[in-house]
Amino acid sequence: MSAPQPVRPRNPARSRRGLSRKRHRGLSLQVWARQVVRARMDRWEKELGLLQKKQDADTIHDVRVAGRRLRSALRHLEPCLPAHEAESVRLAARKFSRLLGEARDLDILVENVNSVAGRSGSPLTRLAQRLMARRDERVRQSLPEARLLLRRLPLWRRRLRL
Amino acid sequence: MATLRPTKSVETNFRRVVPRLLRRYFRRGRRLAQSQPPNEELHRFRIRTKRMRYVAELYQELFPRLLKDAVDEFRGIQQILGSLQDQCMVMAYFERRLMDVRTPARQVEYLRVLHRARMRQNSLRKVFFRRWARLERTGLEKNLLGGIRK
Repeated sequence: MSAPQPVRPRNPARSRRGLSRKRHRGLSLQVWARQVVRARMDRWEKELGLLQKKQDADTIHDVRVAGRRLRSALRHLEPCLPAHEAESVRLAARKFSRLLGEARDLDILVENVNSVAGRSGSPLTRLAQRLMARRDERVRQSLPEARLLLRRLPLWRRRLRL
Repeated sequence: MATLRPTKSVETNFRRVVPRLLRRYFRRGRRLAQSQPPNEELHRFRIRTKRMRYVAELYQELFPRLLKDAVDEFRGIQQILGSLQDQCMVMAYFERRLMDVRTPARQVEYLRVLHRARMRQNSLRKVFFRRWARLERTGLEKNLLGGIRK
């Protein structure tokens, strides 16, 4: 007869997560949708706030990702949210994302140019500098828009009944 | 598209809606992999992949084991096609600028950038098709649909 297997202690955190998932799966889609959209809107708000302090490539990327996640939740869960409000928030988020997208495209161009430009006097080096300046200008232009979005977020939360 | 039913549970909606999205996604991918699509079509498929990935991520917290591999695969495909789109953007930019450049030294530099972007573009296309073939071999679609039906 083989030795009895040692009883592994239950991980209470893991059990809680499993129960929580089961509970959430059983929620009505409408209730869950509001939780999800609220969480994603909170995240987007946090990233917009960080953008005011720092405008490097990583911060821009994080703001865009948070915006995309919010937009995808709004698009997929639109039947569960007040009519037209979800679309209005989604379009505002998309407009802002496109503004930052121009800055991101310029980052890509600069990266490609720098990888080919060799010596410091190369025409490509000067082009890279101009592209960086244009990129910084785009980012600066996006900051007032970000502040406007931050001011509108409480109204959107009320309208979406989050 | 199957519409969501807000008063039904998350699980009921997930099992109704997500399989149709997956089938449509894989059908499009298969069609692309069997043809020689232009980069614009691959760009559209990248957007489709992004949307598929975001829907999967939405439900991933509730169905982690079922969706983890799918989200990873969609992310991988999206990154490859995203890099391809970046190179297309670089090429479009420098092709436009080349038309206005007069100095030979600058023309040479711009042509070098274009050549590099073109090489990267071709390589990324191959990477995508190889990745898709591997995805089909793993049977991800069948596993996902089977898991959702349970």
